[in-house]
Amino acid sequence: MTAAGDRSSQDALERRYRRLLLAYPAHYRRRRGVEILTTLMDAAPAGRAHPSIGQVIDLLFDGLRCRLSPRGTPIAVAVLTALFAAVFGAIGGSWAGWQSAGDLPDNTMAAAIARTAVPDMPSTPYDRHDFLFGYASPESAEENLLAAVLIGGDDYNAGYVQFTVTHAADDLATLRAARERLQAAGWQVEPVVRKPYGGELSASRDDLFVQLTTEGLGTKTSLSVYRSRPAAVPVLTVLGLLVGGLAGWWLAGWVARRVATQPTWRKVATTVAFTFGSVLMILPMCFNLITIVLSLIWARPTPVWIGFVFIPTRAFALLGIPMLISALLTAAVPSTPVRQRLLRTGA
Amino acid sequence: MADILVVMREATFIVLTALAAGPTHGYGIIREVNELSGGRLTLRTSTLYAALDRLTDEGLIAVDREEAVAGRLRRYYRLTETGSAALTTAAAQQQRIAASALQRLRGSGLGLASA
Repeated sequence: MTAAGDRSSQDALERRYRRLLLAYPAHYRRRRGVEILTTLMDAAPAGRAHPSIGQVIDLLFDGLRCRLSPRGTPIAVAVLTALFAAVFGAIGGSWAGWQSAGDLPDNTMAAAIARTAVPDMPSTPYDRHDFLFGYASPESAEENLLAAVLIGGDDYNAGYVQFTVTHAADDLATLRAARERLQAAGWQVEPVVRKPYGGELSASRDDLFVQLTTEGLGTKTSLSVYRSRPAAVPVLTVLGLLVGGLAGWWLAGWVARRVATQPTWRKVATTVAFTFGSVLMILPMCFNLITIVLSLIWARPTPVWIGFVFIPTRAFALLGIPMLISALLTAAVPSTPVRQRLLRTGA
Repeated sequence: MADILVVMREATFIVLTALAAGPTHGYGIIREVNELSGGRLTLRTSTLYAALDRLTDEGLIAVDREEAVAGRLRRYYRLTETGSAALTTAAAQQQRIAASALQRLRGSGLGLASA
């Protein structure tokens, strides 16, 4: 090969290596890019114009590894950040999935369903909430709402239309009879379950989910009609969980790299905010994580963000989330170089 | 030090060995490793730089100097005192283990032919 041909092959090889190095994150390329390119070019046999298949695979996978590596981050911090981000991702996915849910049936249609199950049910609902999810506090709503906003509440639920009737006989017999009638009407029914407070029966059909509960002998039977969980919910929940987890893993590495170049006070501030924020968030996040798992198993509409609305975990989340955000912001805001600061102040 | 020896990987050992003769750049380390292993090992670029990152973090090596020529960058690495000490101890331990292995083979009569 002539000298000109050799030069042209080298240029082509260098261009291809440079393109492959784009697999690495920018911060790594700034630190190592030219050096790795030099090593690759030094190692290349004369006349080679293309990277080998092995090199292509090696560089692409190593670039990906480098992008996902939380280098410089304590592993506990990386895992915790990934877990928190995964939970946030799952919550986002679930919420997005629920936006495709239809409306609750009107009172007439809901009453027809209720009377299909229990013929003695009244024609007007005892309670109705059309929201997707929310606090269902019928008494002194404003006072309860303020408390719920600040510390959470225990009556956060999916929207429903509820009917109640006093049953005359054995409550389980009422549920068993309701089961047969619903099944005959084309509902997919679950077995009657004995609970400490009475009994429970669930059924679903099309985009509706019905739950009957009894409160023991001689008291009332309640039937609530809910929206069924849309098919997109579990898919988007799992997708959000995975994407969030990966993003959290990457974020931990990014924050660690930012913090490494910052003054000590900023490092301390980020660490303190992250530590306190994480401790406060553990309980709400555990509630959310458990609910995320249950929501994938249960047919019953389940708010996977329950840890952010339940009492008293909401209070912890309201304190913890701003702390985590402030840790992130403290790490994200670029440091003002000392020289620029001195120039600005004229010192 | 014993703990370090237990976990010292082959890549770590051989990269430190490659630097034992003096400061070397990336391609120089690849060549040294290939030579030291009798052509058996060829370090991939990714393995080399992952090892250099790790060894730098652990304080076993440091950047000695940089040479920029025609848009290229040769960064030379050297062993730190900690790296030299770790390599010395690891090499001594490997030597002891190898000597013990040969001695045992001779004792059992199995290794006479190759020893």
